[in-house]
Amino acid sequence: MHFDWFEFNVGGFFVSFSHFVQQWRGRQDDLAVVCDDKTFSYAELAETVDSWSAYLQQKGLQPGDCVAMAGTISIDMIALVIALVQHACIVVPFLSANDVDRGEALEAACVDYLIEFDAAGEAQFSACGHGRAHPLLDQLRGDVPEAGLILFTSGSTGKNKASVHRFSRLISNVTRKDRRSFRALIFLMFDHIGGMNTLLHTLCHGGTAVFVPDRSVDTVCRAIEQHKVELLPTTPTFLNMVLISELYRQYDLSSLRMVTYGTEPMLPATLSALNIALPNVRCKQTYGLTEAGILPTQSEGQGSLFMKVGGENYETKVVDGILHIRSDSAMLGYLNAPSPFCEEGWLNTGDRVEMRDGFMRILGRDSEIINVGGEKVYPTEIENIILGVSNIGDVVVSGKKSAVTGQLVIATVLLKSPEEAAAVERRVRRHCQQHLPAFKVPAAIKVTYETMHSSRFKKMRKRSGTAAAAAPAAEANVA
Amino acid sequence: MADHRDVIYDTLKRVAEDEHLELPPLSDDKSLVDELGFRSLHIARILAILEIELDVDPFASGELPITNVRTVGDLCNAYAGAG
Repeated sequence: MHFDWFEFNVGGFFVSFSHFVQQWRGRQDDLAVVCDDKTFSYAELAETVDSWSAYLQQKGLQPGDCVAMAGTISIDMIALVIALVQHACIVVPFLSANDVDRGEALEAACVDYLIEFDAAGEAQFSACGHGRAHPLLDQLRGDVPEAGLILFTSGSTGKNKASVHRFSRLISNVTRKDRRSFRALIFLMFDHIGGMNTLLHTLCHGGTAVFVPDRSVDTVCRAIEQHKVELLPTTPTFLNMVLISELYRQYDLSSLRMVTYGTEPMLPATLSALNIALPNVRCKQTYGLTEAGILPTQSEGQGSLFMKVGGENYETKVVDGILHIRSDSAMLGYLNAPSPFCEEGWLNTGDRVEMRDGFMRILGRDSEIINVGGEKVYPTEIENIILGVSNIGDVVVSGKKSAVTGQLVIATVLLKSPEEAAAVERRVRRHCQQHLPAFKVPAAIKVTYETMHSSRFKKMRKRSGTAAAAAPAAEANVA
Repeated sequence: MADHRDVIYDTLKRVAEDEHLELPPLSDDKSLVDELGFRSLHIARILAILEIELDVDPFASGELPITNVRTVGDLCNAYAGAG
């Protein structure tokens, strides 16, 4: 019955997505998903999608309903996303690792129903009572309803913003790109635009999506070895942790063909070390934003941080050193914040870039630039210098409010082995003084033994003693 | 107060040493800029270190302007007042 319904909603997308699922039914021998160390063929995935479609029918869900799903990643969660899309519902995924306040988020996302998976993997269905009309959701709930996706992105005020996407555009974005199929590790979950993009690309091109229970270096390296992973989309911070731990030496990572990295600027020192540690692996920078989607990129070279960004369906321009993007794959807007798009549809990414011969390098978020007495300091530049100091495993540079110079540079370092803090400070500052002008030399060096990254392996540059910077238009670059 | 003064004097010596400044004998009446030779970045760093050492920043609220601090004694008084 419901299939009749979505066949009706042709328009290209439902037919094409159903077409994928239809094709999967005959692929008993091709591996679609590895999750909890269990393997699932495409035929098994299609069967699981069918059973979730029946579940949604039984619960009486209607096209246009806003449905949140929460729990730990499982084959059921993956199949449920696909089933919800087939039913033209608006999907609001919450994976256990995300940092969102769920109660607040359910209300902001106008959620009608929640399907929550408990520890045993059993689904609990409940009505949320937050369902309501919203101009952006009504665009999806038109005469011909279509599936949507709501993702949360952190705002400069600390309030999470609910971004609304047309699912059809996410699908068409992956189907018109590079058609190679990979055995890919899903590093970021599908409550993140990068994770959703990797999952859709993998399944639409017949690859294998390998999920891991956590994002520790050990778990990821073990999964690469065990499941012969070819593609690792990740973050520079995670790659730094791989290099610090040297765990890559303990596992057979020879299956790995490509590492893609995004979400934050890559430090040249990390990229050089990565090329030495994994000489047969192609390293490719990616660029995307929750608000704009994932853009095609072309690296200048294996060891270069310069790249071309954009291509078919993406326009880019640089205004006063800041990258702006216009794309038909962009989100419709935020449910709970003003639109970040200008009247002509351009998005100010807030990312400062350096241009060279048509290639650009991401310097960092404009909001993260430290202003010391009127002089601009890019945290990544200082971090790259400090990584050259012996016994420094990782570093986060941030701005600290100063009554004298407005802001000061502060560095927090993670040591490879224990060392007296005063000695660390002396060595780091001496090294910086040799390579940097005085205003860029960190005024203080803090030693930490705690992680300095978020659950998504992105550096946390909390500005001590400062008010939130001017609101950037977009959250982050994503894998 | 005495503890604050010791920490402040030690910090001034530490920063001067790091920055290769030759300090005259320290006393409360010495001016930070004219007599001791500290520049803006040095003073900013001194305040950052003192915040870590003394766990207080008397200038954070904006009620006490840094421009009122001209001598070593002014600096000591600022932290004594904040403590």
